[in-house]
Amino acid sequence: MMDKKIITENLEEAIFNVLETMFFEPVQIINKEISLLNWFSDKQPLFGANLAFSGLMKGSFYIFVPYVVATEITANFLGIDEEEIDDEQRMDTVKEALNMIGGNVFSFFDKKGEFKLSIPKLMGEEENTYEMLEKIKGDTVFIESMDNRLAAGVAIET
Amino acid sequence: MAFNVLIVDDSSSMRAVIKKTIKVSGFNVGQFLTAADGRDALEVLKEEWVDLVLTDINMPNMNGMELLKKMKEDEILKTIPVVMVTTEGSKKIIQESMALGAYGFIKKPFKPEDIRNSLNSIMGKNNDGQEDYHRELGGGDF
Repeated sequence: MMDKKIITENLEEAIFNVLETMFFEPVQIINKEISLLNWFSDKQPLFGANLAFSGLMKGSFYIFVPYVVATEITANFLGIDEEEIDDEQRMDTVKEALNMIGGNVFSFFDKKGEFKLSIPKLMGEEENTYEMLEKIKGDTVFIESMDNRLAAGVAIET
Repeated sequence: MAFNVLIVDDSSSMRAVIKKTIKVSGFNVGQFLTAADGRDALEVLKEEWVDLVLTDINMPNMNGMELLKKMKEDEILKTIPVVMVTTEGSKKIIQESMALGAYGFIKKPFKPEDIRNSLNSIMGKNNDGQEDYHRELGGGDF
């Protein structure tokens, strides 16, 4: 039986790899016992996305990215000015970032391709993202960028 | 001689990034074509002359492996080189796609040079982007 720790342990490295390689976003992980609601206590607008996976374990990855950071990473990713970015591009970039993080996590240990990733989805476009934060039950990695903060994590079904 | 590239990915941002990477690398691309999944890609392939396909694997409707399989079953399409550009990095997936006839494999997240090197090897260019010879693959002149 595979230990779920293998996923959580590789998540931090995947976050670094993806955010720094593809989005040119230097980040650091903050080891803190804090809730997602408190982490984003400034209530800035957020994009949230999740990515289900199945295989030896079942669960989903998730990410929360403030609007400002989404704009920044989208501009870096696409190589265009922030003023040119629209919401569709922001949302697509957040989903793609999570897709790469999820794929990168499994690439560290899943040599036999026993895990299968789904398609990333935006969380609750219609509802308040802050209400969703309360519902998340998972192991969250709290991330600081140069001048903002984001969070990503994994929820594994038992 | 210019060549046509088909980029298949359900992320419009990723399609744009791959296109930009190829463009700034100085390859002589005639036309960039795009598709959001394997099904769309087959439609494009029916209509347009394509010299190279870069495809994601994990996509809705028809994934990249199915697209590759369909292309290899087709007398004309089977000659077009296909490079998988994907987050799926397991040895099994790489082996499966190579067994199906993929030309190469680029793992996301990638660096621009990963795309450049892969295209260089297909197009017979050296790594600094200078054309040194043309190599014919699948009926397309590069």
